[in-house]
Amino acid sequence: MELRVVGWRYENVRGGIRDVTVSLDGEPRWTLVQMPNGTGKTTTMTLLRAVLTGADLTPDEVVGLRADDDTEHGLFELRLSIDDKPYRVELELDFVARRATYWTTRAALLAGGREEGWNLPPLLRKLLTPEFTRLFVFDGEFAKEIRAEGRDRTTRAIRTLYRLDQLDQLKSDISKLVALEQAKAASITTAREQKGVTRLQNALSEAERTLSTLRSRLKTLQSEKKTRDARQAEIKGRISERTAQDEKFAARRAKLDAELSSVSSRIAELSATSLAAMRSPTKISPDLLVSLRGLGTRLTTLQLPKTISQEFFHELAHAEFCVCETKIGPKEHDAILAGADKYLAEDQITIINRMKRSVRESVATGDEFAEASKELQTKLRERRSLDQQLEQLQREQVEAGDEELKSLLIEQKQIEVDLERISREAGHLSTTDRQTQLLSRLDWKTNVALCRAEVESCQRKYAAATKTVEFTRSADKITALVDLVAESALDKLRESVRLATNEKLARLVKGEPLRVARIGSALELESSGVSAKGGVSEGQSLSVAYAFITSLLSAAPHKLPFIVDSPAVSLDTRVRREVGEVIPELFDQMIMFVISSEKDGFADAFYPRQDVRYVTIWKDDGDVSQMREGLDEFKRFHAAEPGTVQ
Amino acid sequence: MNFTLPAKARPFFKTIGDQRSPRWLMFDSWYVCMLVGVRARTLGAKDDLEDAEFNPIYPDDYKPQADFIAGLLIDAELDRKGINVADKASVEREMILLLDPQKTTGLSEIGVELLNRYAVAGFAKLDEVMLPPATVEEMLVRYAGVWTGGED
Repeated sequence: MELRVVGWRYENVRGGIRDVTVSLDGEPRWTLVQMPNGTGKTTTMTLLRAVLTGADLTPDEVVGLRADDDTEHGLFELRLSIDDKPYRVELELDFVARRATYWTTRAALLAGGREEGWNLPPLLRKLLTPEFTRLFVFDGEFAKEIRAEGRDRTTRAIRTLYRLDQLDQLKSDISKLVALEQAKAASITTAREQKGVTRLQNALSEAERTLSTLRSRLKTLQSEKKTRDARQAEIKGRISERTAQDEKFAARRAKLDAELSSVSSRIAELSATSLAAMRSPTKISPDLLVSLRGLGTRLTTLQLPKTISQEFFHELAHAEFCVCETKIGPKEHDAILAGADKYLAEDQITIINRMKRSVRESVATGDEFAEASKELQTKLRERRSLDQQLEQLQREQVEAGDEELKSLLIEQKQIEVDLERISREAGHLSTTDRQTQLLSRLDWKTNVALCRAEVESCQRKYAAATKTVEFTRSADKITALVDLVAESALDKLRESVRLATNEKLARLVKGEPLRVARIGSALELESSGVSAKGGVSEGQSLSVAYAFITSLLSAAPHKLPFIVDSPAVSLDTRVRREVGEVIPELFDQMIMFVISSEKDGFADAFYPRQDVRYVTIWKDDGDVSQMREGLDEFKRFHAAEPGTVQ
Repeated sequence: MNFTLPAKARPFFKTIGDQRSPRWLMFDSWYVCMLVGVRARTLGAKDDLEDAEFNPIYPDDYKPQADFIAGLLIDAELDRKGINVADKASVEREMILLLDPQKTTGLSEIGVELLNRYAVAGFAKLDEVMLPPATVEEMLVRYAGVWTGGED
């Protein structure tokens, strides 16, 4: 990205600048602006920084820019070229309301006028922080600061200029992705760390263990049931054998068994018949049959369902003309559709007609269920009676001294009790019916289906947590790598800037061992170059700053102008000449605000150069600023400046 | 809404539901309650239904009875609401309300909900006149008694 200053304009600002426009059309590489002290040089630097950064000015700062007490409005306008596109930023100053307002005119909007606000491209918004802007809108004060420990000007400048902050953005994006992944997993599990994963793994293991135990118990119960069923059949056989072996009881037993078998078989038939009759409303009761037939008759009497259905009206509503040839407009259309709801639909008519036909054609009497269940009741009584007779027979046998039969009967009772218990427990273990689970208060520790669900739930949570933790772990690795890259890049950049700085220092302050030992949070100088008094002169300090800033900016990915206030005022003539020769070559655009005393040794180094714009601004006798361009005017102008190096 | 059992019906019929032969369906439990409720023209409270619906359609054994069940519902509702059976428009409106040919049961949401509420009232009656049956055979005999023996 390339940023150039194309010009600026003042209206009614401090230093008596009522209406001055500096135009840098033609893009001169170097611009020397001669402004005596008190004519608004510092104000210009302040305004340039403010407009480049979009700084919010406080009411006091606004008032501080006022030309005089009678002035109500002021303006500072900066014209820029950003990647060859024109931009204009205006800072409107309302001295009465003590308020400043920015206006931006962009290339895309040039035809359409201004828009309120500071709206330079997003890249510049990031780059042009107040601190960074001071690097290229430079003054002597800042030269001291970049050598002050704890201010961390240098490293931050390198990070900003070489876009290492983009790596911070990358880290921030990674954090967002991790947060997103965790949020997605949060509906399943809140575990985000290994501790949480371990907890879920333990829960899963416990659920799996419980499921295995429950299944094993169910298998055991099924096996016990099988064993007892077999034993029960065996006992039944043994009891029959015992009875058959005893002549006294054998005939009675055989007769009872035959009757019982016949009754049981009839009961099975009658149960099926009764159940089938119960499932038909027309066979369950004459009352229901009467109700259904009555309904069919009533509907027939009412001529329901009608032969005209809803569909007829829906079709009619969309026709152009009614059957009576009346034109159907929107009003009629809506009225017909509203009326259609009162009519049965075609398929509803079908249901009702089918119902009427089913009732009409039904051959049921309504007594089928009653008759079948009555006979069933009789047969059930018979079976109960036969069971009682069998029990009586066995009691008589036991009383006659059949000990084996007695013990068989006792065992048979015990097996029945056991089977009841097994059936109940196995039912609880194996039921999949939700209502039964609820009513029996079953949970995952007592029911196989619920335990299986718990295992699946734990698996889902564990998988989600594992994935999340894995994701977070990978993100941490990448973040650490990014940090490593950032650190390594910063080290290399610092070293390359340091070497370039020292190379320039060797040319600027020939014969002086003034070198940068390390670029940390500040520029640290080699002790041999620092005078015994423990400090460097102001001139040396400025040389170091120039060497550093020019090294920093000249190799940067962005081309920025270098704007400097009184670049040579504190340098001795020899260094001035070096600065005047070395520094200008490093920038595509330099704007230097000088006082007349700096012409000697510094400004005059530019006179032989092409592509230089000379501007002189001074106050006339009426205390109003005047501006003239040109080398002759620049050379001719002279003002006594206090505190200058002669 | 689908067919839903009265809240207390499940434990009442649990034992016979476990019997292998003859097979007693969960739908049988709902149906026997519903018929008693329909005959009594009494609706139970919706809150007395189970939370979970158990069946969206008629089981195979009941499919041929769908028209009769719809007819019994229409008849019960006309009677319960005191709709004049000669009032053609009101009778037709009631049928439109209770039937939905798009549903496999032929009943509208409202129709199924009403049958569920008749089942709630029917279950309350059954619970009054009989103990939870131990066998399907016992259930059939006792239920026949409800229709013939004035036990209701």
